Amino acid sequence: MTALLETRGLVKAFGGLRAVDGVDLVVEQGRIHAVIGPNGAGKTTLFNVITGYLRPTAGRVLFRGQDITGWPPHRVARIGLARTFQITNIFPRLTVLESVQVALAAARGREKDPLSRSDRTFRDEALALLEDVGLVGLADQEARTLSHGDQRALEVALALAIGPKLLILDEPTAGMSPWETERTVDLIYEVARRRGLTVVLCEHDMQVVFKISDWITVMHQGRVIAQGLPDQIRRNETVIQVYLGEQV
Amino acid sequence: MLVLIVLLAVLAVLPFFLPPAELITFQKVLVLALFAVATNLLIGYGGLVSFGQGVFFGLGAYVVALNWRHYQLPFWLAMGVAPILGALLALAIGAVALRTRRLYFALLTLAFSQLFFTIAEKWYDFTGGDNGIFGPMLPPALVNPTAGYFFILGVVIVSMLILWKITASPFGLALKAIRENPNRAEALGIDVYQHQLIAFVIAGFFGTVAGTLFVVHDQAAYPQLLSWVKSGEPVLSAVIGGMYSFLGPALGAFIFQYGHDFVIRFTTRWQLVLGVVLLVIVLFAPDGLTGLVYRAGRRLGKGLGR
Ligand SMILES: Nc1ncnc2c1ncn2[C@@H]1O[C@H](COP(=O)(O)OP(=O)(O)OP(=O)(O)O)[C@@H](O)[C@H]1O
Ligand SMILES: [Mg+2]
Repeated sequence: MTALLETRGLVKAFGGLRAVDGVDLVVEQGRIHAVIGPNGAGKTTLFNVITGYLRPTAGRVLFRGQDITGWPPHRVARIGLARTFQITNIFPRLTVLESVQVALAAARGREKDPLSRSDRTFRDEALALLEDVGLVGLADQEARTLSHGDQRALEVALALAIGPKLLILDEPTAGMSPWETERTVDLIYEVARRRGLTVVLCEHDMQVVFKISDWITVMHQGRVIAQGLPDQIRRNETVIQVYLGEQV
Repeated sequence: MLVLIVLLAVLAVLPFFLPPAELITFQKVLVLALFAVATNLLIGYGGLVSFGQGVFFGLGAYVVALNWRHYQLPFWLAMGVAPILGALLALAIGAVALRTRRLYFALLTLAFSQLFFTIAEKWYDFTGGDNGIFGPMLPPALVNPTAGYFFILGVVIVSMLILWKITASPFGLALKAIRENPNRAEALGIDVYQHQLIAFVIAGFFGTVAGTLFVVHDQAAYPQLLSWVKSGEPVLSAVIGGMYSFLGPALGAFIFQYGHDFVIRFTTRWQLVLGVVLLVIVLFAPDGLTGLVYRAGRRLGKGLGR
């Protein structure tokens, strides 16, 4: 296996606080890779640095061997790195269909096309994708009118629409009902396997984590304190002490 | 669709019913309507509030007027060249102003327009200073108000069709996505800066077109056309008419112009009246009149059991 994404000595400091403190992460091709850890461990900050939303204080980010450190988010997205956000982040007044259509247009380099009709561009593909995530019935609704769970599903649809090689999901099931959680997890699992996608996923629901991940990295206070197969992590003393103890 | 056809028909026969003085007022409405729809590409679609679009409007008027005064190249050439200059100026201003955050963008566009206002006002030898430039600068074919009206109408319709095409395209949709959530748009691979810059150039181009049409209406160019008051007109029109619909700002321009002419018959405090009206809109109909009508229509639809 080869590394699709790698960080080397990544640091992000906010003033005196080192939210990410020397993280070396290796994400292997084709895996579902969970990043877990207590609140404030630095998971979201790590994702923000990887995807260009924050500039690292030190360290490198490599994607398929290419140094992408400090690239702006839109360039990171273009080379096949898609993400969702911990706090729902959608286009409130666009319809569900339009949201996916604009994502598809961006992925195919058509987002500056001033001549075609946007309502006819990638319509069928967008509907097919919405079918996949179970939102096709809501295609013509404005995104802001959707339930929380459906908005989270739309987040995933947007990320999938750009046809990524790597998908970074920041707590995709946050605030979902058990039923919605199950639906979303199945969706992620199924799509990842079918498309051969690599997924990096941050999640507090340990049942979900142990069910779908191939590999787990545990963070605490900005540092990686353990990594390994799910069974190894489950039995790791340090991890139980700082994180799992409170959960199980 | 039917509404549009009726509207076009009315616009086509208007000169045969309106007295010349009224027709000339209506020319002004058409010019402002184009200015407002062009500016709304920034506000309603790109999520950008510019307080300096007057710089393009004034540029359009000045290019035509200065050409008449100093160079005597054909009028039509000046009409054609002006929007290109407007687009280039927009490229320069936008490249600087869009690098900054939102509030600073509004302030920087304002600063640029005041800069050009000051130049136009102080450079007596070239621009005539605060007297502006007045004179018979139109070609014979456009002097007659009816001819002028049809020329303005034609250019406004063609310009609006182009703008409409742009807003309905994937580029227009990407702009809307940026308006809704620039952060999220970036994560999809959309270059927000580039999109906004292109939108700013297009708005500058058509703002300049509107400025050249002003000369057809008034045969004049003067510094106030570049000022923040002029810059405010398309913004207010968009707010009044509704910035989330394509023709909302044009409706707003109509109301703005006639509202202005009506109000100043009774009071000199136009600004005060305007302020109150805007407050009411922002509080009770933030998406403008078209939004209000749309929502009322839906409620009515529900009431009728649809
Ligand atoms: N923009 C910021 N400015 C200052 N401090 C920040 C900023 N973003 C995050 N932090 C701090 O950095 C630390 C790590 O935060 P981060 O959001 O990355 O944690 P997390 O692991 O995602 O936590 P959670 O599980 O609650 O989402 C926290 O102490 C947080 O308060
Ligand atoms: Mg987080």
